[in-house]
Amino acid sequence: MRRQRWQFLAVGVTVVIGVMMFAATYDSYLNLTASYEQTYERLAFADMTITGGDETLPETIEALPGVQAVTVRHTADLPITIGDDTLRGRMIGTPATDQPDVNKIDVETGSYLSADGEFEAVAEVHVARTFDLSPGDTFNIIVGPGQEFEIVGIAASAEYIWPAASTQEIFPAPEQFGVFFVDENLVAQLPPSVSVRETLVLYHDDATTEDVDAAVHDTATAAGATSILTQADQPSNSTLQLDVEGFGEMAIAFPILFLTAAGMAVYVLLTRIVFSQRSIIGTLRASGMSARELRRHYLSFGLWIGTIGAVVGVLLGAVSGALMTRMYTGFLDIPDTVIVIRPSTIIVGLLFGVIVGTLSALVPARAAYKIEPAEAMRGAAPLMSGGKSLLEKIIPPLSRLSVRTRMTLRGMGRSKRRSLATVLGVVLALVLVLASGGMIDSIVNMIQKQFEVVNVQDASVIASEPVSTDLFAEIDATTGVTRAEPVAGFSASTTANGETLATTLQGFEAGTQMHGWTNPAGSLPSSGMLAGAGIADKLGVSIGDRLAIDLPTHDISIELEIVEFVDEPLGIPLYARYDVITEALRDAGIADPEALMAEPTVTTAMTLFDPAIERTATIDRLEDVNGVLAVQDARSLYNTVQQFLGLFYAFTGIMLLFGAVMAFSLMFNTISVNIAERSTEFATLKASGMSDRTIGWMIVGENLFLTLLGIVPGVILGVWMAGLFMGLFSNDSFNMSLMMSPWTVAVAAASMIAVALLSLIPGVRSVKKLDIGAVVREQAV
Amino acid sequence: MSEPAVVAEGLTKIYGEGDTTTTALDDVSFSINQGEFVVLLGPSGSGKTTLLNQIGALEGATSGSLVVNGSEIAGMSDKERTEYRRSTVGFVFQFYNLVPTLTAHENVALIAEITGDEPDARSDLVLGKVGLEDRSGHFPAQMSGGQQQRVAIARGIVKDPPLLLCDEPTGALDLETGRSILELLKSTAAGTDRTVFLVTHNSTIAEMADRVIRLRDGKVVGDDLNPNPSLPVELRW
Repeated sequence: MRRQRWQFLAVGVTVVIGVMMFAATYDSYLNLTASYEQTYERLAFADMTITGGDETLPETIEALPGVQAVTVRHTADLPITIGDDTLRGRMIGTPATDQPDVNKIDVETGSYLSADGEFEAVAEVHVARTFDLSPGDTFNIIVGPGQEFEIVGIAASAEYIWPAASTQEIFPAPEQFGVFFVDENLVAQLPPSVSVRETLVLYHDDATTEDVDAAVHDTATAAGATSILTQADQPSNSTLQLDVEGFGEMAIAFPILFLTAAGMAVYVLLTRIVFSQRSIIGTLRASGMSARELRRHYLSFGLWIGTIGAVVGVLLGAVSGALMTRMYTGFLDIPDTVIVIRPSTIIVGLLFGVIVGTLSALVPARAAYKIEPAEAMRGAAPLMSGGKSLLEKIIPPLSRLSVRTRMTLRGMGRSKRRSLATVLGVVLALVLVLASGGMIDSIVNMIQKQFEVVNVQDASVIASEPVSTDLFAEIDATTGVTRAEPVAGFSASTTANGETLATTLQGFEAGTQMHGWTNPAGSLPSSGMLAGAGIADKLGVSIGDRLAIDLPTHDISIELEIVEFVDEPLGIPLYARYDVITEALRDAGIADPEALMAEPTVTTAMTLFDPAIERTATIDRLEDVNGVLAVQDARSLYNTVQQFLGLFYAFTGIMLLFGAVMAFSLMFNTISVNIAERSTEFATLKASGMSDRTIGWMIVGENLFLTLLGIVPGVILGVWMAGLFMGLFSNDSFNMSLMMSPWTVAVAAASMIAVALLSLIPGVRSVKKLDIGAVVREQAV
Repeated sequence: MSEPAVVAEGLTKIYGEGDTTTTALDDVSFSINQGEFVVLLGPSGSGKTTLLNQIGALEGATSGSLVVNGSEIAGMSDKERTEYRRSTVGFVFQFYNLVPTLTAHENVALIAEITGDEPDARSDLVLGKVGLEDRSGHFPAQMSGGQQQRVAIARGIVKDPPLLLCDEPTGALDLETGRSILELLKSTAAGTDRTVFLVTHNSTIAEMADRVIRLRDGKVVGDDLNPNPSLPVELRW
């Protein structure tokens, strides 16, 4: 082992990384799941959240088997100001005297609401952090007469660990959305057009979730509920679960790649050792060593390297897993962090290493004891049979290439398993790199599509009063604004085939410049509506179907026909022309639909800015327009999302590094073994006057060709794997489809070539340092 | 009298450092004329392969001088040594050392390519000389030991070197095949100025040499001219 210490080290590092990745990611996965479960349990996170429904619904549900508790509350999204900032504040009603039975909050700083303090609020941690709020600070609701609230505490909520505003609004800009818990009596007093009633249901621990879900769902549907969300579909939870599931998938898939590579490397290395120790094996066998003892001896190489790699990997994995868990829970402000060193993970991690080491040593060990002693003691192995390379057979003119080139081509066929190991190293590394790189590309593309193709407005201007022609004229005339359009927006829900979808219905002008249309026609239809493509799967509907769309804040239901689908990355929205919605409201019995549409909670002014004028100055001017309540900068969210991408880039960078290490380990081993086996051949060529450079180029050519051979299936498999991962990340909120940049593929492929060249350096240098005299002397009798 | 082809003076080669040194060549001196067939004779460990490696510039000397065709090779750089090996010496090894993935013709042409034009024609020519024109398309594994050694000799002479260095070329062959190889080596040098060095521990082979240099423990213990060399066919061992 001493002689091949660098090769053993390379194999060992691969085993360590593989086992470490498994132990770290799998433990993190379990830790995160446990952290969420502990938080959810402690805060009595609702198993079902129902919006709307008749007055008797809570009582009916409470009587259902398996239901432990029901809490009724009201929630309202209201414009608020914190200092100079205006944002949408979600006021969640909660009992002033005590925590509710369902969806408790975890007060981290300050106190819970007091029974005698009517205008108190507890700020959710995300808004508190964004605006640096602490107990004693205030904010103001700015509708109607307005009201100042005093913040008495800062709290975490299981509902807002990921601060999603709704299923359709997973990424609200933190400066423009915040959650506050206030006295339920205050929110309940608000008119139905402003607040919604929610029924939160908690199940018994021993209840069968699916059964109770079904019973509650049927009951809520019968009672006319407008939205029924299971805990799995709850916006924050479903977003976080995607992440956790991603961890779970990675915890298995990526370590398998590494351990496969490590196994191949052990196999290649031990085959070489057995080959080089033929005469010793022969002598030992001739001296009476049994086949079993010999097999045990060579198996022990694999066993040791697997065991040492696994022990180090498990140790590093335990530390990394704890760090990853803590970083993750800290980054997301998960109230509970559960870090457990699990014997099961340790055992499986150790088994991974030991099994991989032993299995990959089996074939070389078998080869060792299968050698006949007389044959083995001759030292040199039987001469390998020659033959033209496959390429020469397929393309006969290649046989006219120089002998050096032919030798390079045929060199790949000298040891087919070793060549396969080199190719496999490239394939596995590319799968690792492209699977993670593809996810990043898709997310970047998704975000670019959402903000540069779909939502192209610069800002949304929210009025404080019914939107009038004069107000629009003033907004349009503001310096820096190049266009302003009215855009209506309703929270909506629609039900078909027993499934309910909580969504939004938006109304745009016919020739809107605020939104890009991804339907085949490329525009809004003059009648009917466009629907997000995901609706087909979710509700089992198709083009031509008429859907009843409930607008719970106005207690209205309208009907619109699906004309085409749009392919948008975020959510499953519904779109119709402004006038189409107005007419649908009229058909639904609304006497003055124009007045309803003009309500400031319905219609905002979307604007485009002059890029030549400073953006913040334009926003400031808009905020100064009389009748403007708030200006929501569309770029703010885009910038926030971009910041999150930094984490993803770091993740991809680590995967690229690991992929490079894996490819290097395998290639370094195969190349080292290749050169070691051919030292006599190279010495002979050097003795005949062939330069180191010529020999070096032959080795480089041979291995680069193998690398290129690996790149093709590696790219195909990598892209496929990335697509598989993206599929796992799709739900009602994200429509993830794989969009791999050719640059990513090119960079990954170029990286493999660079790694191949890097791993060739030691081998080429060893040829240069090859002691021809020593090789000749060793041969001499 | 012809010009000396190889002149060694005080040539010494020591392996290792400190307490673990081995003196493989100890103050070796001799002078070999062009065209001589020289046998380096000695038991295992006597230094004969080391001396051959010195003449072939496969490794450097610790001290002393070694002049080949008028050029001092003891102090050559790596690049100069490569050039020297390319232009001046051909090697024949005990275990042939053919490239298993190349045919007989390709094994020869591989070396011909790096030493001049028309490698294919020159390879065909020398394969004809060693009697293997009908085996040129065979791979080493398809040939006998004797045939492989013939290919190795063809590879050694394809660049027409002034020195042909043979390290135990018959060591792995039976008597008949060994004699035919020795005949071939002798004939490749006949009528040319090519100097042949042949390393062996077989004293019988020494009978065919023009000159026999005997080595023991790294020292030259005999340097004898053989006025009546035997024919290879007359040798028995």
